[in-house]
Amino acid sequence: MTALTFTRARSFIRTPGRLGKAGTASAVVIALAVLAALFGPWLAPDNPELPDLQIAWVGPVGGHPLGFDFQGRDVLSRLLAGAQSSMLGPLVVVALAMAGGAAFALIAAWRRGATDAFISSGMDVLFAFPGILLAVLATTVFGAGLTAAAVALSVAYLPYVARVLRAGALRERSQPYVQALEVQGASVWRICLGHILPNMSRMIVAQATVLFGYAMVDLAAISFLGLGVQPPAPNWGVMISENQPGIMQGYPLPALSAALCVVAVVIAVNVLGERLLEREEVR
Amino acid sequence: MTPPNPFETGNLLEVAGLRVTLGAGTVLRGVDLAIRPGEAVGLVGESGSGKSMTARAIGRLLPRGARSEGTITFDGSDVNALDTKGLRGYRGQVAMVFQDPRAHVNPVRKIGDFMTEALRTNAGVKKAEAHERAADMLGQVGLDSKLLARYPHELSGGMLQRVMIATALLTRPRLLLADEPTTALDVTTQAEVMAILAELRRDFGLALLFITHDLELAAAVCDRTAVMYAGQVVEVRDSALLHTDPLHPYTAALGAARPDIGRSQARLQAIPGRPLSGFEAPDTACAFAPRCAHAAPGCETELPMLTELDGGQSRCLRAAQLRGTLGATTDA
Amino acid sequence: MLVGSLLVASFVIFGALFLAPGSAIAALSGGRALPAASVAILNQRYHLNDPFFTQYWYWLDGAVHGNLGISITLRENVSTLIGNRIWTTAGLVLYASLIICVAGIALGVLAGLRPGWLDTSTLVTTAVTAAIPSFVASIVLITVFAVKLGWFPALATGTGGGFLSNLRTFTLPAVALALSSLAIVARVTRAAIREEADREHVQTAISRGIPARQVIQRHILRNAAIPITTVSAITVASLIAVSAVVETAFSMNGLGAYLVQAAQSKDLAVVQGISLVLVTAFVVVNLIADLLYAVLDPRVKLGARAS
Repeated sequence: MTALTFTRARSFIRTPGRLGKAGTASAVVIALAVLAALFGPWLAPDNPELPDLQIAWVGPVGGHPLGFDFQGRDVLSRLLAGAQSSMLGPLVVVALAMAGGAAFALIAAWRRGATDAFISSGMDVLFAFPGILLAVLATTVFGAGLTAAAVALSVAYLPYVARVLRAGALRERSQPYVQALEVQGASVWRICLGHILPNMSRMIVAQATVLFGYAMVDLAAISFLGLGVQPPAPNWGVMISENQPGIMQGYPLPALSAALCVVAVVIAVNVLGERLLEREEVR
Repeated sequence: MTPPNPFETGNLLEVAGLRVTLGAGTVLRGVDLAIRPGEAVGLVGESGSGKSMTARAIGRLLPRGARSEGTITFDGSDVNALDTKGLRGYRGQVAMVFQDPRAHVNPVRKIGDFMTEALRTNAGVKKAEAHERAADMLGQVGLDSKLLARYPHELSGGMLQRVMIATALLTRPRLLLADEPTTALDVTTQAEVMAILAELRRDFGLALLFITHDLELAAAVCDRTAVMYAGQVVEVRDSALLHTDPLHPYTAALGAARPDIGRSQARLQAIPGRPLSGFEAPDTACAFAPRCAHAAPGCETELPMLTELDGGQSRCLRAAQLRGTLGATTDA
Repeated sequence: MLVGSLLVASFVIFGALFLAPGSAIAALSGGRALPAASVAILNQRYHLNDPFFTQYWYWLDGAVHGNLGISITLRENVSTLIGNRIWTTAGLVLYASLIICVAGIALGVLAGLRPGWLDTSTLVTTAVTAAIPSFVASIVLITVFAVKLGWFPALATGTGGGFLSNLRTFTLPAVALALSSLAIVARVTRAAIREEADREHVQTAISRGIPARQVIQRHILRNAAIPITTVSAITVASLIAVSAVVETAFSMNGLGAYLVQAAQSKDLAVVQGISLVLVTAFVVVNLIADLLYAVLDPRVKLGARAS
């Protein structure tokens, strides 16, 4: 059983196929972002948190290619330090949304009938809540912060994930191998987790990638609004918001460089996600 | 069989040396065909033989990027040289009926709209009169005029196909190109649709190019039948003689492969190998030679041309030699 | 079905804020200690000691009749406060929707019908623009068009002044809001047109000599209208929430920006009220999308739109 799942997972990893130039470029960008997220604070040349108002808004100088922000902190260091929360947040959102969505999808697809109808209606209701609105509600109740925002977003994404995965799960459910396993006496858990889910792994990865892009945008927006990560903690969305006044005063670099980081990663994730989805459809 | 109209001499449609290339490959490698006014000609072949592409070439519906050589003449005019106005007139005279009616009818418009669109646009017929003509034609194909107000998804496949045929006839065409009109339908409906086609042909004096993969069906409905293989016409023959006295080994093999209900056979006679498409066929040899039971060494080195023989045509180097030996009475 | 959705949504909104830590009395009093009599009066007026469902009912009943409670921070009727700001948001969303639908669909149709440089350039630009979030677009637009070029104002406060002046003020925010959605709509439109042009029923129309323009109008565009309308409606619906971000970036006095402020100052009544308005708007737009879909596609019964 485990051997079977392992082989399937291995073959998936070993066949990245031709990602094309855009796909490989995107993978590189994402890899860089991940590296920054993991090692950012150590890679930063300067202290990202220590304010020095005397050098606020100073432009690029030797050793400080992006200049200083509104509190005199080195922008490059702050970007590197901020990579962690900027990447981790969406990751948590995706993990929660995929887990929850998969759970609901499997239950609905397995039980079908009334359970399916009930879950689907529930999801439809949840669809009425845009992510940002739920985040606002959550932060009102629980106070501003990354946790509340991330959880709220995952809940907002649940119906979308559940709907997509439900379609795939239904397809798998009606395959003959499932019946065969049932006849052999395999338990529902084993069939769902050990067979149906792994067979949907390509679809899941493709969806997760696309979702990461959305989550990143939404979380950055929420932080931009002041409801997510709180200043003075470094975070790309926060950096855009706190450095926005600089634009009007003629110092756009800090805000724009943070924005560029967000956009670069989102584009990379979108391109990669599209490639993966294409291959999934071809199959 | 309708005798040719004495006021019209010559062929209604003439296809000579038609070659069509699509991208890097050649789809049609030499199609020669002639249809007289009021005549029904069958075009038979397996998938990939190029029969649909021939119909599309005649109807000037080739896909983007396809290039064609050779001539297609309708009533004396070169079809490919027609200007926009001439083309519109041509399309009124040559109507097409397609294979999958459900895919070929716009699902968001009513049947009445579908049927009368060409009349209203091209012939400037007023809406009310166009609908009247459509209702009348529906009656001729055995359908209720109430269907004009329905949507395509409310009709069955057979009904839709009859609507397509009725629509094609509204412009009083002189030639009907029917591309596998009954293949997507069940057998009973097939028979009904074929009967309607035959009846309408008689009533309107239509010429018909009937495309199918079913040799028997074509022979039953058409006066003459052309057989295609690998993008070329390999035989043209009077339908009555097709089974008993074919001129090409491929036709004979097709006829022999079909199980005969009146005879008991030890096993089905399939043609060895698989059918070649136009893309794969060689230009310097007979395309059928590798699968032919009568192949001679010369067949692999020389490209046979379509030659006249006993009132028909055959693209076989050994046609004259094999004359009389290919019929159903002899087992291959 | 959608009314049910709304009801449940309102329940969730009310219920979530009911759970908010901190007593309502403390919020109402602003943290001061109040004499017992005042507390009693407050309890009575706001039904604070009633069971949950009663409170919910009072709130819902009030909402339907236009009474959404009092803002704690501003001590005014929430409904009035919403009323003051709703036109800013509505104007912004409408303006952005117009840009999206007109420019997005036009671009998609042109790119879909003509292969060539227009098509390729559309694909490339939309691929990039689709990934630019509204708040990024906001600051970039402010940097380029407001600060550097000075064509438009950088802050969109106030809606006084004539229609043209408002148009100018609202242009940058509307574009910022519309940009990424525009790209998506253009791409989907292009894909829909391409797909429809390849359909067999289009071949049938051509084979009957119907002129090209009519084939395009009556068969390609008409049929592609189905997916195009669906995606446009979904996109417009999504604008409702994202407008909060753009309003904040441009310091606009709209519902979204106010919602964020109220959330930060824990002004529960305002948060509830605005959330209810936004969710209702979202649901209504989706309902319109469903209706349009059923009208455009005769094969579909109402409510069967597959997102």
